[in-house]
Amino acid sequence: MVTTSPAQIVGIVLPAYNEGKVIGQVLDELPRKLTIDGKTFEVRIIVVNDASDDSTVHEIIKRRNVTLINHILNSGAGAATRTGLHLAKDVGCNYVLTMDADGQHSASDVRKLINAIVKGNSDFIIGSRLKLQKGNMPTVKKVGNIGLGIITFVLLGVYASDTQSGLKAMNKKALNTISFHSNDYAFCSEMIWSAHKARLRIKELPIEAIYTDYSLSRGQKNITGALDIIKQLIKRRFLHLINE
Amino acid sequence: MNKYTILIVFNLPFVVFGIFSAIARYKENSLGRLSLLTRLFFWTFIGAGIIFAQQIYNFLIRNDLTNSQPLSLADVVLVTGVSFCFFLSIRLYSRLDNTERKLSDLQEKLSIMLSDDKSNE
Repeated sequence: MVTTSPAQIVGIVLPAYNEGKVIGQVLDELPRKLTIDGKTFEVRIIVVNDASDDSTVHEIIKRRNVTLINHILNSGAGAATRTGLHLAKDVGCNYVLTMDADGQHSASDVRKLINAIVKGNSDFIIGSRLKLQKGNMPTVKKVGNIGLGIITFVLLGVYASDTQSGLKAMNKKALNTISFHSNDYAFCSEMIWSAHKARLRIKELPIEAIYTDYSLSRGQKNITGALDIIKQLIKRRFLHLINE
Repeated sequence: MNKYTILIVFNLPFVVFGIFSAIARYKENSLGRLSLLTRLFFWTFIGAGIIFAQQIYNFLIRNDLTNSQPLSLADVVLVTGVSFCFFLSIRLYSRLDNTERKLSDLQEKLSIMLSDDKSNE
């Protein structure tokens, strides 16, 4: 008797807040099925709408094969990512990729990270926008990201060239191990810290950063955003010392 | 009663309570080893400062490291207030953190439950 093992599932988690203008195109470009080394993978796209008040939900429900979760309260990118990862775990995803919903990442980089994580040489992969010269990341953002990488190293003891990258991939082991409590953008650094503490194999892959006028107007504000992240990281470090 | 004794009588209960609550939470598994050690170190440091306040003051005077007046009753009140604030802030900070986590957890579970896996297949 010939038995066929069920296709493995790759989850793609997108936290979205007021991304109505671009999220449709982002979802359209994502693969629904992948074949890697002769193995077929079912792709499960999970969008966590973080209480958007624009057309985000409308754009999502028009797309097929997309799971939509609505946050009741606007809680931040970290909280939305955590909800998406929670569902990915519940539905039994073997691999999970997180990405921004503002069109900052290319579909080819998404495939590249999925390929790399499926190959199995690492548990957690960070797509680094600073390792590739290609792309149009503004200088102020580059400097900010380098600075945040150094601050993350000083506070949390783990270094990554692009701690704030939204494009990350993880396998089941990492999905079950990584935990973070930051609700806002500090979750990116906290995820890496959690992976480091769990002694997971962390790798960085160069990816392209696509900045448009739209994506520049979204996301973190340069200086206040960076200061908020630093404040959150200090708070997290302190709470880790007294309350974990 | 000696002012230093009054200092100990008023402040040591906070230290003892801080130490015991850290140990109790560790035993309940709601506090990790690192946090337990940090809290024990913190409260022991405060406790030692209170118990040996007179010796510390004498040492500082002998070595010309301070020219402040010996302990007054007003100082005792002030130090007690500071100890109480330390105690309260640690307690409030950890409670606030726990509440934030529970709220996030609730929102997470509720959102997933309400979404009922509406995959547009």
